Amino acid sequence: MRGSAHHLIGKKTGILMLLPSLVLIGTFLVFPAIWVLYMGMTNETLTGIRAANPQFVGLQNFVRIFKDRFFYNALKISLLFVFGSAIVGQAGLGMTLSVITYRKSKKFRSFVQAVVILAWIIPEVVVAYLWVAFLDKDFGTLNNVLHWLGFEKINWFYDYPVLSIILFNTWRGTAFSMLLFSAALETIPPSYLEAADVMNVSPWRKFKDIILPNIKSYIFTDLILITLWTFNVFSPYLLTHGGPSFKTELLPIYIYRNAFRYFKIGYGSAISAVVLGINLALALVYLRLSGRGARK
Amino acid sequence: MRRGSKVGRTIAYILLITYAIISFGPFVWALLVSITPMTYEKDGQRFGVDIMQWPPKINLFSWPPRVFGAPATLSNYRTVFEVVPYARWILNTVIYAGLTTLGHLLFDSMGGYAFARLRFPGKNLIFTLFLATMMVPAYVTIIPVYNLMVRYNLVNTYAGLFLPKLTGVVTLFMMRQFFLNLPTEIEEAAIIDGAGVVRRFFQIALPMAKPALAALAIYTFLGTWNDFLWPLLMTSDKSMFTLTMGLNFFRTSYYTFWQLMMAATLFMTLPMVIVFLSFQRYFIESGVTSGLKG
Repeated sequence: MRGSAHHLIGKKTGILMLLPSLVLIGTFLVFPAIWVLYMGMTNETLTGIRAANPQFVGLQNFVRIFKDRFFYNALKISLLFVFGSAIVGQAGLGMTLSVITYRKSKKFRSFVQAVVILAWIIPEVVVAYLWVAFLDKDFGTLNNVLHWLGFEKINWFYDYPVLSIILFNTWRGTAFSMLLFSAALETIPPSYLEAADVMNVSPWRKFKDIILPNIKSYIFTDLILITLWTFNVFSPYLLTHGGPSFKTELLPIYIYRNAFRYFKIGYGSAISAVVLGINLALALVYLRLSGRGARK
Repeated sequence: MRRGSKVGRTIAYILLITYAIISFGPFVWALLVSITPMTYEKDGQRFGVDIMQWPPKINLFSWPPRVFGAPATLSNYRTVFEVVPYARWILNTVIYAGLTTLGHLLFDSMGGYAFARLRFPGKNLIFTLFLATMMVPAYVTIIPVYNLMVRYNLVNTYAGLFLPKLTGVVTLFMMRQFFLNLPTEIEEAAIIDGAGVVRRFFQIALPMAKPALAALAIYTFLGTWNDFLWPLLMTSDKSMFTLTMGLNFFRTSYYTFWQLMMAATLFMTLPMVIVFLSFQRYFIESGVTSGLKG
C-alpha cells in the first residue's frame, strides 16, 4: 500500500461509499447466516400452521441430522464430488491445459481458452439438457457412437451416476482454474525456463522444480475457491434430480429437497447451519496449509 | 514445453481435440435440432421427425438443407414466441441481469475504492470480517433470504429477484485489489487542482478501472443471465419467469419439444457467446489476474 493514500479520501465519504455494500451484505448474507442457526432450532414449515407460528424446539433438528442416513449419504457424495470434479478434474485439467498452452503462440492459446470458456458461458440449464441428450441410454449420442464402434450401450446415469456428474462439472468448470493458472504462469520470469531449455532439463523436471514452486500460492487460491464453489453447485440436480435413489444427492440438493420439496424449513435450516460449519472448517484448513506453504 | 517428447505432444493434441469436440458438439447438435421441423409432408402424408435417429440423415448442401431427413426450417424460432410469453421472459431476464450488473458496477467499485483508499483504525478488522463472509456458501443462506422475501411480499417481483444480488463479496474484493494496484499520483495531483472525492472517483479512478469494470460487468451479467436456483424459488407466476425457468416449459412429463427448446436455447445462448467473444480480452486478462494474486 502506498504511504500517502490516507489523505485521498475522507473518513465520512469513505464510510458513505462503503455503506451500500455493507448494508446489502449484512441484510442478505451475514444476517441470514446467523438467522439460519435460529431457524434450525424451530419446527417451521413452508405452509400450514407452523409456517406462521413456528415453535422453538432447541437442538432437536441437529440431533436428528446426525441420525439421518441421508445426511451422511449427501455428505459422502458431496466430498466425492468436490474431490473428483474440483480438485482432480478442474484443477488437474486446468493445470494440464494451461501448461500445454504455455509459451505457445497467442492465437493458439486464445483458441483453447475460448473452447474451455464456452462450456462456462452456456447456461447450465441448457448444458444439462444437452448432456442428457448426450448421455441418454437409448438415444444418446455417446451410446450411439459406442454402439457404432461395436461396444455395449451403457446406462450412464444409472450405472455411473456420480461419475456422470463429476465429468459434467469438470467440463463445465475447468475455465476458471485454467485462466487462473495461465495468468500465474505469466508471472514466472522467462529466463528460468530458458535456462532450463539450454541445460536440456526434462519437461517433468521443469514442471516440478520450476513451474510448481513458482505458482504455489495461486494453486492454493484456486483450490480454496473451487472447493467452496463446488460445494455450492446445484446444477447436477438438472441432470439427475438427485437420483437414482439419492445416489447423486449433493448437500445443496439435500437441503433443497427438505426445505422446498418436503416443506421442512426448520430442518432444512439446521442442515444449512451444519454445512456452513463444514465450509468454515474446510476454509480454515486450507488457510492453515497455504500459510505454511507460503513460509517455506 | 518447447522440447516436449513427440508422445507428450500427441497426447496433448488428442486431449485438446476431444475437448473441442465435447465443447462444440452440443452446440452444433442444438443448432441442427432447432432448424428441424416438428413434422413434414411427403407424398401427401405427414411424418413426425425423429431427431434421435442414428446415424442422422443430414445434408446441408442440398436446397433446402435436410436435417434428420426433413427439410430445414426457421419456423421454430417464430413458434417459440407464439406458444409461450417468450418476449416477456426475455424482458424479465434483461431486467434481472441488467439491474444486478448495474448494482455490482456501482456498489462494488465504490466499496472497493473505499477499502483501498480509506485509512481508519479498525479497517483491517472490518475487512477481515468482510472476507470471512466469502466462506458462506449462497445456498446456506437461501432459506432465510427466501423467508425474508415472503415476509415482505417480494415473491414474483423484480425487486425480489435482484435485491439480494446487487453486490458481492468476491467481486468487491476484486475491485479493491484493482484499486490498490492503481497509482495514486494522478488522484493526488487532482486534489491540488481542487477536485473533490466524488469527482476524483468518477472522473479519474473509474475511467482507469475500465478493464476491471468490463470484466466485472461480463462476469455478473453472465452469472445472472444463467442463474437458475434463485428464479426457481422467486418466480411461480408465468409472467415473471426468466429464460432459464422458461426452458423447462418445453419439457412435460410426457414429451419434450426438443425443436422448440433448442430454438429457445440458442436465443438465450447466442447473445452471451457474442458478448464473450467481443470482450474475451478483458475477460481473460483482467478478470482473473487483477484480483486473485495468492
